[in-house]
Amino acid sequence: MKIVLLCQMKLREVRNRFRFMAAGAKIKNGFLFGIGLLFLWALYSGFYRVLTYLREVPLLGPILVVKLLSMVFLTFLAMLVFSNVITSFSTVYFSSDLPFLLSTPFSFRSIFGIKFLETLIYSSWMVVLAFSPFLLAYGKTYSLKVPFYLQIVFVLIPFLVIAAGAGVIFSLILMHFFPTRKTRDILLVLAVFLGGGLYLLFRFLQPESLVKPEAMGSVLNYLAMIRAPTSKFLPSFWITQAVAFATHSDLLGYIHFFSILLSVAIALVLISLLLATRTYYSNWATAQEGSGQSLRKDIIGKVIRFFSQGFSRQVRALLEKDTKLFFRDTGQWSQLFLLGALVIVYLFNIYKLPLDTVYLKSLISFLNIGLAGFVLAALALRFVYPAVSLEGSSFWIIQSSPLSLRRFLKEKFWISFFPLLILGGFLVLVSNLFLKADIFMTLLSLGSVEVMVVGLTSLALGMGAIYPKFHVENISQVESSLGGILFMIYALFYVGIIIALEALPVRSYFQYSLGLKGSFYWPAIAFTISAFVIVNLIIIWLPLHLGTKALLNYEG
Amino acid sequence: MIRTINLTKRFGHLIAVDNLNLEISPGEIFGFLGPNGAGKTTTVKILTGLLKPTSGQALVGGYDIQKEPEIAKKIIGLVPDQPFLYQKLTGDEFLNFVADLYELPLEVKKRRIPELLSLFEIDEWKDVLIENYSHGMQRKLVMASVLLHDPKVIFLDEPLVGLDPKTGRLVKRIFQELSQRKVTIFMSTHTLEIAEKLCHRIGIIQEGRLVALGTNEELRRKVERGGEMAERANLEDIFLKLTGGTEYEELLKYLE
Repeated sequence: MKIVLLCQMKLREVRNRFRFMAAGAKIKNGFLFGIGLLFLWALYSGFYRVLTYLREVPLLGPILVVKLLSMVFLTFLAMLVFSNVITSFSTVYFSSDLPFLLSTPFSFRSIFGIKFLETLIYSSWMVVLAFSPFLLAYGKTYSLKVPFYLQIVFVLIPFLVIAAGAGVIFSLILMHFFPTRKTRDILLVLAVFLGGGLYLLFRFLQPESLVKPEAMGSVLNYLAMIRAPTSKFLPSFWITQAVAFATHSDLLGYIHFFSILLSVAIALVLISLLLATRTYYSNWATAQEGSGQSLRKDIIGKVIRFFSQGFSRQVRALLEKDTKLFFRDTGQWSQLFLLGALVIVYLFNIYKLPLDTVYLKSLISFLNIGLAGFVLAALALRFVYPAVSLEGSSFWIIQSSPLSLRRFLKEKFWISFFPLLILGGFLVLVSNLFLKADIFMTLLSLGSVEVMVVGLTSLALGMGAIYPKFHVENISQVESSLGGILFMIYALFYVGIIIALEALPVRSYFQYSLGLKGSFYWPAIAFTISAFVIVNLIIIWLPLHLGTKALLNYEG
Repeated sequence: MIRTINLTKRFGHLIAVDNLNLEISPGEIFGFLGPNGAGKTTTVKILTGLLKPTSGQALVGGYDIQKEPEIAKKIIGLVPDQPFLYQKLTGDEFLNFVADLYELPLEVKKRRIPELLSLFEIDEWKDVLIENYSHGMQRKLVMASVLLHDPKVIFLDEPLVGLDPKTGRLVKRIFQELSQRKVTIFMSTHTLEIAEKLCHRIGIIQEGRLVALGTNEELRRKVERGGEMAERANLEDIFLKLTGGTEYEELLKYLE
């Protein structure tokens, strides 16, 4: 079977990646693996506590657990399908090994088969890893043994194949009707838009109401709500039922839903193979054609030239280039929809918070600084961290030009800093307005968040320069790389330090506003302010300094 | 104009460039030849500041490329072996970007960009995204961008690969013209015929070491002293003799 040969080749690639990994990289990856395990363990502990609590709720416990299970699988399914749609575009049609593979005597069907498998693996492994603590915690809650976990693995495989099949069929159909690169861009935007919409929808369903039965009016309403299945025709329902039956060792019930999952998975694989046999080659060939459109109107250029008048000519040229590349590369700006969804959910949560007491209000308005810091860190990971890597294989143009790498990073800093500054300010001001925070808290939040924007921009940019990935097929590989994960760890640590340092002055202020005497212990406050300044100076200077050095020594 | 002093580059245990000493004069067209993996591209990368040497010095126009990179790079033009460009810019935007990076006077920029676009016959494509250009058109665009800021030294890694015969001839003419205007050209290539016809001097590198240096005639004499080379040997024969390529003749017999 030719597909076996292709699988062997892919496996060899993976094996060689580990075999020829430098010693330093092995240590780094081992360290990261450890951190990842710790994170998963923390998730597992959290889920275990939630599930134990839910299970012990009198009468309703078991139903609540199954309801939660179905919600988890529904989210799991939505994430998988979304991830498969996005991934399948790049693996099935645009991966760099396709010209080689299509020039070999392998059949289109075999090539499509291996690309299907790649899509399945790339889109599923991380989602499965993220959900595994929940499933393990679930098993532990019911003190289940090895056979249960084996049954879980058996149902997960067709479940993942269904998600991959749905994603790949979706992209096959769309590419058949809209084959050019331009249309793919539009579809990518639509897919991301859809993802953002689903996220919003899920959030507005307010899953937390599950554990707040008093909000449902009557017990009957509540019971009706939790007993109602999400949808009997969704794979998430089938897998929930299979897991529920496996929990109670009801083998017949388990086999019934396992068979449904398996037959749907096989059907989707067959349908995608059938579609691929008819359309794959012609779709791929058409997708290689460029749009050929002419770009005479230079609106972006005019706007950037107008707003960048204070900068040097080299920096202005870079600003103009980067802005144009950002707006012309759909893969980049389309994620602004997800950003929009994130911001709306963030503000919606703040708006919906039940703030009954002054204490709670003050506490939340203070912790909101940390929350805004977390949102900004996530945005910096998505938009600032990849800024250097986005130069891609064209980095030689910058390297061989008389532009200093310090100036190059300076431009990257400014282009990322201003949008984050505006967004950070907006988040804090609107959320403080919802929280009805006083002027002191509003100003403190605003100041802290804007300082954090400087720190996070420097950290993201510096780390992106220390761990550049110029040769990747899509931007998500940059974010999920070693440097990206390290950035997120450092960023969260940084936000945590800022919150910890501000805790004392803020507590003193609240005590003072409640009329307590001797609220301000000045030496301690002076210490925290000094530490705040020092931490920020380090986070602003050090990563950029190390990043410049790393780029100077870059030997790609 | 170009000078390397004991230039060495190691990648772990591998010595890519081994104690290289070169001196190339203004206006000289220098051909840098060698088998695959001999260290040609690494040398070009060091000379243009894309790589740091492990030891030794590289001077371009009298400036140390490591100590004064920004000044040195102002007088350098580079055409790499794989010239990746920003695919989402148009040809015209790319040339404007390069002109601004090199801080070319505005009036010069306005005049030269249309001139170069027309010289390389890509003016009709100037408002089209580079992702729509063919490989050859992208190479023409890189060539145009290199000539934009009037460099004193041009480094070319496989300059004629991907160019059609008409553009190939144009580029050769441009090199000769530039050479007369005292522009130094450092050309790393496998196309021995071009090197033979175009280059004033040739250096042959093997396993990182410079094994021969001189004009065509000097190289021929050097090989002839070994006593085996025919009188009318061309550069290909010399190259194969010096780099041990004659061993392939045994292999070729197998194909017969």
